[in-house]
Amino acid sequence: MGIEKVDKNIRILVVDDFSTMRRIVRNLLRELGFNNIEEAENGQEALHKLRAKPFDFVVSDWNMPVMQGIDLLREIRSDPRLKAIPVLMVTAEAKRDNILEAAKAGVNGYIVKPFTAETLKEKLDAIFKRLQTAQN
Amino acid sequence: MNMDQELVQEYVNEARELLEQAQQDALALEGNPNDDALLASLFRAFHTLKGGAGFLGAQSLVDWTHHLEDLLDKLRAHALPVTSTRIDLILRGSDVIATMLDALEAGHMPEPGPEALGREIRQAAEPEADASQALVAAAEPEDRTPEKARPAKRQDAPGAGRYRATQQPKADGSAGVYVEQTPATGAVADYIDDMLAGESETADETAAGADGEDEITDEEFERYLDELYGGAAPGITSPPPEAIEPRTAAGPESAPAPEPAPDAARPAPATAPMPDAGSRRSGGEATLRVEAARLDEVMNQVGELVLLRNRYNAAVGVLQGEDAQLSRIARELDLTVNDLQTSVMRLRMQPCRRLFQAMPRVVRDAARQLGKQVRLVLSGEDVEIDKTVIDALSGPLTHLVRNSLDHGIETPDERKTAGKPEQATLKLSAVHLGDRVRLEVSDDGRGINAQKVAQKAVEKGLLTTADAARLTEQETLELIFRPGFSTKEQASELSGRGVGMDVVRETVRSLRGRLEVHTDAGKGTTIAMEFPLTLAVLPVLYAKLRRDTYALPVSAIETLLDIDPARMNTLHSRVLYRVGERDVIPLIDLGEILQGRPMCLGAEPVEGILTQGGVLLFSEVLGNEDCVVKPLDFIGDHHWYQGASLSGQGKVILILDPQAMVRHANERDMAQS
Repeated sequence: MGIEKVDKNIRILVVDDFSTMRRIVRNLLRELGFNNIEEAENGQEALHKLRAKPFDFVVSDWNMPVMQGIDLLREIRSDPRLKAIPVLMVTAEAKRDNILEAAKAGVNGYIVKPFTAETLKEKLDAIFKRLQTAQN
Repeated sequence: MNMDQELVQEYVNEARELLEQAQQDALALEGNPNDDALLASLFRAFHTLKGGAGFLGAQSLVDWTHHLEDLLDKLRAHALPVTSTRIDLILRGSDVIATMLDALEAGHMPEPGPEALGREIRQAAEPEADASQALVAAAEPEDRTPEKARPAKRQDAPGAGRYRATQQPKADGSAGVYVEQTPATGAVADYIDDMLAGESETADETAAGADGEDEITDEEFERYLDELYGGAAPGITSPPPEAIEPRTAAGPESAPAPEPAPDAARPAPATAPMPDAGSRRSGGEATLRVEAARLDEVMNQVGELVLLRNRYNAAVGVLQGEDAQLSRIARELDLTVNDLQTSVMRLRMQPCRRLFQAMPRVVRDAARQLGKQVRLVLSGEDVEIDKTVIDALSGPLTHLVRNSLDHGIETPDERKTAGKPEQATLKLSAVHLGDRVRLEVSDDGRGINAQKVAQKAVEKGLLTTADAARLTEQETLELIFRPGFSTKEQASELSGRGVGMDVVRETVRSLRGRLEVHTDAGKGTTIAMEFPLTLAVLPVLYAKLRRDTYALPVSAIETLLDIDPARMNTLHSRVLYRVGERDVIPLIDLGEILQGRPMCLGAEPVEGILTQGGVLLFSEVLGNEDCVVKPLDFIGDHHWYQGASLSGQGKVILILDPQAMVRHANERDMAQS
């Protein structure tokens, strides 16, 4: 169960306005064996990419210009073609109100900056476990 | 987390851009304190800086940006007003970040930020900073720490009517805050006790406790998801589609899929045509960061190619008409090399914005310090110019701007008296003029008094009173660019970057630019600098001086003249030449200076080349060509060469610097007189 069973070639979209951060997230994902990664600078660009071709997972920052992470999440959940894509939200702090808001909006998990590959793995693991349980 | 230096460098570069943007936002905010977009952008800048620093393990930077983020958070929520003091703190705080980034770049972990400033920033994020300071001053004059000031923010927390804080003058005249305890409940009594006992952490602890409760745990989050989605997961409609592998679970299973779901046994790459992720390092950006050194390399190689092209054309020219195909190839080669040269040149061009963007801060700081009111007007920020010019000019431009604020612009009172608006206008502009770019720093201040300049120059021993008297007004003004001509104010903190007007002139000269001063007493001063668009190639005019061939930058040449002896006049041992109806310009005999033998009008061919400040005498003007400048390795006593180049014939040609030549001639004339 969990991340062990996940195809390492799933297509992941990393969304962050800070390119260094995208690179960091990408490096950490790579450490976990995920290599099929694309990037977007903000929610809007992410939506374009998501609509242009299939993705299997979204890792998005919360605070971004143009379109915030939470709005991206809402857009994803309200688009019949995108709504099943799991979303992991990267945030600066685990404020209950914010996280609960995100949960209501349909976030699959959250992770607090800074994080290690190990933490990322745990978070992904939890997300995939839930998905797998839901499917069985 | 390990410090991957490449990642650190990327962070530093990106962080600097963010920081620059943040500075601009902060300055813009001063004019529009309620601009939510600016506030959001500023907040995000520090927020993002902090986030990245966390991953690099740069704790000092995380802590420091946190202060600023916190302050901005309050400002963007409009919990605190934007004030000039707070903007000051944001700017000074940003400066500290800049030094921390320098440290990171150098491979060190940044030191903690200056404590005093950090404290000021934290205090500025406190709702009632002023009152609380005064409160502590009144209650505990001995031990005044900012932490102790914290409880004051509860002033309006426990509810009205239980205590009252008023601001009243103390015995020594300073402002004090007096707290009256009205019949109180335990809570307020505790609060007052805390305050008097200096229980500094109380407020923080409460806040921290609340924060702790605010934080969600993983378990709680999972429970909440269970609650919201039952056995399913967010995004998957219940009942969930059966037997789904992760990637298909994520895929658009329940919706019309853009492509058939791949066979679960086959991994995605086989079916998903995607650009190679590795090659897309900059994500969706259409720009690519390239090291400047590599660009320079390409530039040099193109320069060599241009030289080769010139030689090739010269060689083909000898065979003129003999081989039509060869001539055609030569022409095409010519065009292609020109195109290549233009393209590469454009790679090095950067907008003047980069140069101007630091100026609002410079103006703001100087204006506040000097008690002057200045409106900065920028124009031509999109005008592009060679990167070398942009890089080299930031110091000189800063100096010119400060100098204008320091000396040119009057105080509001003086301006009022002079019948001018109290707020002065300082204009910074860039315009394209054909193959040149002109930058101007222009103020509406008091102007430069040439007489005073002359007087000062004489006092400083730069020249004698007699010499000074013989200078034209323009020449007198230009004395401000002489080394050693600096007023005592110039040595002040304001202009204290080790850049003086002489450095401005030297920099402009080394960039093949020209410098002009225009001043109008009482109305203002404009200092203009003109630079070639690119420094990669230099269009030159070849001219013969008897048997020698020299090159002159075309940009320095105003026109060619047939020398008419009737237009020559000798005045105080200087030979002057009348150009057109009105201008009288010194005549510079290159035969005399370069060959030790004066040109002999009438007995040999003589042609004049009019440049800024002097007519240069040559034997014959040959023609022009684009050349590539090679620096000279020797530095002679007289320094009037810009460098050397290879002609189409492969000969080494010295490139004269007309301005240096004019200066030399003038100084020599003076010495002789």
